[in-house]
Amino acid sequence: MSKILEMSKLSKSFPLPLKKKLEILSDLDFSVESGLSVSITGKSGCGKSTLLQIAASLLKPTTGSVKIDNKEISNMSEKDLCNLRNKKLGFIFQNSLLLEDFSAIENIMMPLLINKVSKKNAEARAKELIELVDLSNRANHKIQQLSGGEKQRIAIARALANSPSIIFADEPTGSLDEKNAQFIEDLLLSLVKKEKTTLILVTHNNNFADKCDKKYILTFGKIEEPEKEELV
Amino acid sequence: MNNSLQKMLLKKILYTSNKKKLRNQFILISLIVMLLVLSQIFVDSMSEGIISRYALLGSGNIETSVSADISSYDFVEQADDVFVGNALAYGKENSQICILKGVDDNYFTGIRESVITLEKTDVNSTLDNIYISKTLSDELNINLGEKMVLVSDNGKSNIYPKLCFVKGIYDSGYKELDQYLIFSNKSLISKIYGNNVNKHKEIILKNSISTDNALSIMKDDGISALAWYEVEVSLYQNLLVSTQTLLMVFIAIALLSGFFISSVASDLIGSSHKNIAIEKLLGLHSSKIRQVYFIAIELITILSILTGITLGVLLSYIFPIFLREISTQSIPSLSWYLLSFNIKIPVQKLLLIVFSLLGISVVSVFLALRRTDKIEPFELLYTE
Repeated sequence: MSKILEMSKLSKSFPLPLKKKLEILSDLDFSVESGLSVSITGKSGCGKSTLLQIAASLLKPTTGSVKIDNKEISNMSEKDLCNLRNKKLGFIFQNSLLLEDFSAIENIMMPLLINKVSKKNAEARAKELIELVDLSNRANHKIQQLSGGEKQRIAIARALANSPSIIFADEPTGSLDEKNAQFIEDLLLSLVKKEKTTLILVTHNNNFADKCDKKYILTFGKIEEPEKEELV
Repeated sequence: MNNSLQKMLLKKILYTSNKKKLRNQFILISLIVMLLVLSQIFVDSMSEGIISRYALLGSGNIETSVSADISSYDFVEQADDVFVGNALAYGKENSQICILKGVDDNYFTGIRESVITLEKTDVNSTLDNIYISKTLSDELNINLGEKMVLVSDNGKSNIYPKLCFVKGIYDSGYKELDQYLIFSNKSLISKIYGNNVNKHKEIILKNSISTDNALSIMKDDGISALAWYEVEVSLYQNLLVSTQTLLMVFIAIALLSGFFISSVASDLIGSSHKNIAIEKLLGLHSSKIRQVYFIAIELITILSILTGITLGVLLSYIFPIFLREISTQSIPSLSWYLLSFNIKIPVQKLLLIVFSLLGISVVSVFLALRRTDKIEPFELLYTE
């Protein structure tokens, strides 16, 4: 299988007062094969979200290289980054980050319309996706009228809209109750399998992490696969 | 950008959470433009009215010598030979220095008849007839059909009083002009001033020609002539300064409005921060986001300017009527201003105001919208 994401010699530090710096990631190498679901766990503050943001082109690394589909993204122009985010990447965050003034279906249509898909085709694709997340009856509802779980289902549908190569998910079930969280976990994993999309998941939830094809742990700025015993 | 996307984003900006801000912007700009347009039309029309009154009762559009041959000019609406002198007018209680103007019987006909109200008495007198203004009539307490004394005051002829009969009272609507002006027949002027009388020809021009053009034609033909603004220099300067000052003030207000529009744009970006970050996360480029916000704000600006102009033009027809009404009922000092005049829409000046406002709004909104470039999608993860 080809590698969809490759990070090599990656480091990220944030400046602190008195010319000090806080090093989050250090000399990290990490890659993900296409079509797999991969989870990254670790203690709070270990840099999971930072790693995900760098991989998702939302944050620039201090040093190192990030390649998506064999293309270096750390020196891409703003325009190319926009294209990449729109066509190849999907995002799901803890707080679903949907456009509040838009209806559920309009939120799903947004990435498609940005991708210059015609309104008719965008609407058809959005309807197909909203059916997949079982929210057809809420299609024209405003985001404020949806529950937390429903918002996350819309966020999943939106992330899948342009059939991206990778979906980045940062604690997608973090703000949900157990029942809703289970439902979202299973839905997300089944949909990425169905759409043959790579999933990179950052979570504290070990049960969710274990459901992925591969699991990684981030400690002290380094990423590694857990030992077999640890996995058990 | 996809048209459907642009329409959808525009609709959301205009009809959702920003509705109140944009409505306030619409109302404020409409009101500002309405007041600017109303003031500009009012001042311009009043100035034109004053100039027209001075042309009709003062010096004509053009003043030339009585001997000038103007019969071949088809731009002349009316031409009158007039004799002019100064006099002291004595009423029952007061006296007033006046300009005594000797004219022919047909002077108050044609265009003058349509602008000036003239009330005449049927009573005849063997005395010399004069027409005084309503303002002078009130000042000297002299009524129609009564007698009054004029004393010549040109310093050259013999001073002697002349008893006259007030045959008519006219009202030009502009007290500033007619409070000093008495009309009589030419023979009275000749009697009072003898050979020292000042004679000239007043020419009223047709609307189809400008004063400058007519003057230029006459001068080319070797006729010595003066435009009204060369005769009434101080009046012309006052009108010029006041209209130009007003225009400057308007442009300054337009500038301030531009800053207001810019602050609305900044505010709009501030309140749409999260939406913009999400749109960027989904792959929409900053320039496209700016474009949509720019269209939304400029759409509101243009609509409010058009509304303001329409309201200003409509109000300009009502405003003088309202002023006339309050001048007779509660603020008599207003009656010293010319409140009865034809409304003239100064298209060029209005366009200047509109384009200043539009230009300033375009620049200020463009600059304000640069803030969108600084909004990064990853901020969402920390602000949420």
